[in-house]
Amino acid sequence: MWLKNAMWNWRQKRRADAELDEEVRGYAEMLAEEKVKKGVERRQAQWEAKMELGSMEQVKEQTREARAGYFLETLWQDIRYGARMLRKNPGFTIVAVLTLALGIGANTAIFSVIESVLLRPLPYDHPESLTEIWNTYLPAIPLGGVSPGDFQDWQRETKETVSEMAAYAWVQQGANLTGDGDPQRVELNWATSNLFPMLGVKPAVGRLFVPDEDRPGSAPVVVLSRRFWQSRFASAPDVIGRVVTLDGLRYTVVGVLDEGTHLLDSPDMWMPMGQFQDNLTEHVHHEFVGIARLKPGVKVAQARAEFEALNRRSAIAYPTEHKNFKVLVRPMQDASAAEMRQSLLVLFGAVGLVLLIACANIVNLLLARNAVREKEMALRTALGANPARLMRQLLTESTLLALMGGGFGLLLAAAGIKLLGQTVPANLAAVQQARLNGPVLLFTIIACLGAGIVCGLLPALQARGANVNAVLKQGSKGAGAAASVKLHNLLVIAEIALALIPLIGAGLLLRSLHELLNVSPGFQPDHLLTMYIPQAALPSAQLSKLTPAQQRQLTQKQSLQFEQIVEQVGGLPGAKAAAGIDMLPLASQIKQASRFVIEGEPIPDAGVRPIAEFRTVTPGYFSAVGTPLLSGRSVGEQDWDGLNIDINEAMARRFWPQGNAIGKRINLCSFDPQPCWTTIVGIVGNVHQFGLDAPPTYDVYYSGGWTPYLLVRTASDPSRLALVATNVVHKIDPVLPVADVMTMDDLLSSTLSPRRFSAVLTGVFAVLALLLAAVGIYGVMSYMVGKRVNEIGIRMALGAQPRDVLCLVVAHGAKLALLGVVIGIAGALALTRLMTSLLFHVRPADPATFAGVAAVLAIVALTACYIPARRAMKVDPMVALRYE
Amino acid sequence: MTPSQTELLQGTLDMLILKSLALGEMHGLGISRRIEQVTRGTFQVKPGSLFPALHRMEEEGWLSSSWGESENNRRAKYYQLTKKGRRQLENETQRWGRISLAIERALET
Repeated sequence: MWLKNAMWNWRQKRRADAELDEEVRGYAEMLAEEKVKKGVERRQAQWEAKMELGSMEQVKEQTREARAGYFLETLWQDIRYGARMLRKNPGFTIVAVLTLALGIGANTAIFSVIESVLLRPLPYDHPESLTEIWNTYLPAIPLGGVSPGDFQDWQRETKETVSEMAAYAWVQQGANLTGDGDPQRVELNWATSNLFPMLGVKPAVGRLFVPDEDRPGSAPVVVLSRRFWQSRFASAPDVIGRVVTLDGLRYTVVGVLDEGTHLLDSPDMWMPMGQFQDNLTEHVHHEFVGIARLKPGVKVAQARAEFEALNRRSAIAYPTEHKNFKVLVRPMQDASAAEMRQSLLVLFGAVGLVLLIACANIVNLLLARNAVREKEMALRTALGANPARLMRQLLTESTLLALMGGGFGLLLAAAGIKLLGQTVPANLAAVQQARLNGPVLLFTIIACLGAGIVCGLLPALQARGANVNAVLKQGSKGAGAAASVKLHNLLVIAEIALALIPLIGAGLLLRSLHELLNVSPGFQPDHLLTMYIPQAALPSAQLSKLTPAQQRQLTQKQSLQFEQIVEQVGGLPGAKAAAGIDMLPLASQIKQASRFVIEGEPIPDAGVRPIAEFRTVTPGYFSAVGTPLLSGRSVGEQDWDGLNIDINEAMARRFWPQGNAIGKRINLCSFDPQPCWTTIVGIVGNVHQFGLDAPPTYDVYYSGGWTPYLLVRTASDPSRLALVATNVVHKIDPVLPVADVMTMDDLLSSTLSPRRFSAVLTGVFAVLALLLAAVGIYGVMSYMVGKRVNEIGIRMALGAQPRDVLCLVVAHGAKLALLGVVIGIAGALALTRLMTSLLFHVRPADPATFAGVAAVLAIVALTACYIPARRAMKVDPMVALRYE
Repeated sequence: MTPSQTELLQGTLDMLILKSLALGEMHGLGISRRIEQVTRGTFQVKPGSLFPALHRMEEEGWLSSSWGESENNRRAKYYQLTKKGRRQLENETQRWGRISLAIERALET
């Protein structure tokens, strides 16, 4: 209301000024008139009136100030008064500001991450109307690409909800770049010509793709990413028209993308759809991610309905290939956003609770301080101070505290964001985009004001409710004692309950991480060096022209080449063994997977055929990495023709539960005209190909061909062998790029890093919550003991032993702790259910975690009570009774 | 400073203004004269205190104002008590009674 009046005054200033002028002038004239009536001569009367009035301007100015400045002035008074109070109690102020700084700082830091990962719109034209189109094949593939044929059909047939549809390749591929400079492995992706224009991504130089290039057989061209243009070509503007050689084929550079894209991992180069493969109408290989621009006003649900109808039509038109595939339509998002959403929300919840606990501590401090000022307040009320004004003043004070806390909190948040950016693993790079930008600062201000009101409201209401007469009559103990005890009890209960929830959340996450670390990956990850040495692939067009005999010959040649590397590296001093595979275990990447059928068994419908993951290994791979051979033999040189395979235990148990898998034959190309029957010759242990938390897939292992990942088992620290091994590879073939040299322990650790990130961070905030709560409980209990000194003195004078006093205080604390724990557990039970997807082998209501955390919290709470209780024990009854 | 020109405490001035308006609406000079009259000249309210007080009290919602004709046909701004103002007057009167009684006693002993 004050603000509204002030605004009104400002707007109506001119009119109000005129009225004020008229009013004051009228006053002067009436005064003169009065004098004239009394017989004074008119001119004399006017002069006298003027003199009496004083300066008319000054009167008007004073009136204006009284009016418009009323609100601002009282606010300013409150602020000045509040600042004075805070300056007078530096101890109180420092503790309160630091507490709030921790709470607000933590919230700001986490919100900045949320803003950058979840809230910041994608840097495209009208990102809100962009959707992703995927296929799913449940339960094996919860998220998979769309086949080129389906994409083309749907692109043509979407009429109602979609204005335009584009696509890019779901799995990007590597290629060896040779020519000027060192050989280099580059990542490629393929896009339809309308993708970049639709997103609003522009070329920095040159051009992007044209519709003609969507057709197979178009001229070989590439567009570079800005990053690759800078690193490989030093941003040379004449890069346009240059020819780059990728896996032995020549491509012309036609342009450079202006900005990085948020489509999966940013590739080094883009090629037009037409370069992807010759057949772009097939419905077998689910290779593309569809991006659809919705028509204005269309909801995602409407688009989903249309795509579901299109998908049903595809299933009818291509029953063999497409049956059982479902379509998934979702708003376009940064690839990492979906992955991190849940853990970020959990973290946000945890820091929110930290702030609430910080506020509870401030409430306690304010209550304790207001108790001292109770008499002052009562006196002011008795002398006519407006109670609303007093309340507003207390709120101003707490808001002032919160704003100061927010100021320091911003410093803490800036440091925290920097620390996060430096420590966060590469696969959570989105976190590094967190900044203290406008939206984050706005959030901080809202958090400050919110905290100020939360902190100030209870004490202010309490001060207002205080009975003036009672306060003035009573001694130093102050009045409202019963209400105040109740409020303090409530604070202790709240702090315990609020601290319990993040502690349980962190406990569950840490237990999940622990459970995960106990999962055996299926091989020995320690003392294992890995490196990526890809050989240039033969172009598929050329490959398809080879006769089976020529293909066998090629495989033979590649196998022998790689065996040479394996032998020489494995023979290095410090190396115990070496082996090759075409995709690292735990890498969570699909190499190749296919639906299969078993010889002699009924052939299931295409839609329900099981899927097997393909891996190719060198002879001796299993013993080198430590995957046990359970029965039969491991594939080796004699299997380079691709006729024999090993399978993993999960597959053997599922399809041959009687243990008679060896010798059985399966067809792994059941959709091709030519079947490819292979014989199972051995069974090996399960390996977690898709991370420790993913159940083992059905895996088949071939032998023969180039296996680009080299693994070296070492006697000591594997990273020490990295350089020597690289040199050996280059001595054998100088144009082979060696990339991604790392230890298997590093890879294992990076697959766990998202979980570790959220578990450790939640843990840090949970401990912060615990510490703040402990300090708060200690503060409240100390204060309550201080208030009861008199009572304790009387008890002791009447014969109570120090032990009794100790019991009295501790029992009181224990009762509160128990209540807090019970309420906290109820809250945690309700909230932890929301984090089920983040847990591994731990139920959201895990009794061990709940019991453990409750016990820890109870011990901390009782310790926080015990210290003031000890002090109470030492009360001297004589001193206490005289203490008034 | 002579006793007849005692500076008014703000609270007191508010109360006197409220009191003088209790009988009906009045313009600035009228209020000033009324106060002078009822306090038998003890309090003389100067425009420099009167106008800021009137406008502040209007802001607080105790008074409302309207333009009308004065005795000699001049346009003048008239003030009247609002409901809130009437309540405020009651409170002030009671409070004043308590305080003056207390002070009187304090001075007697």
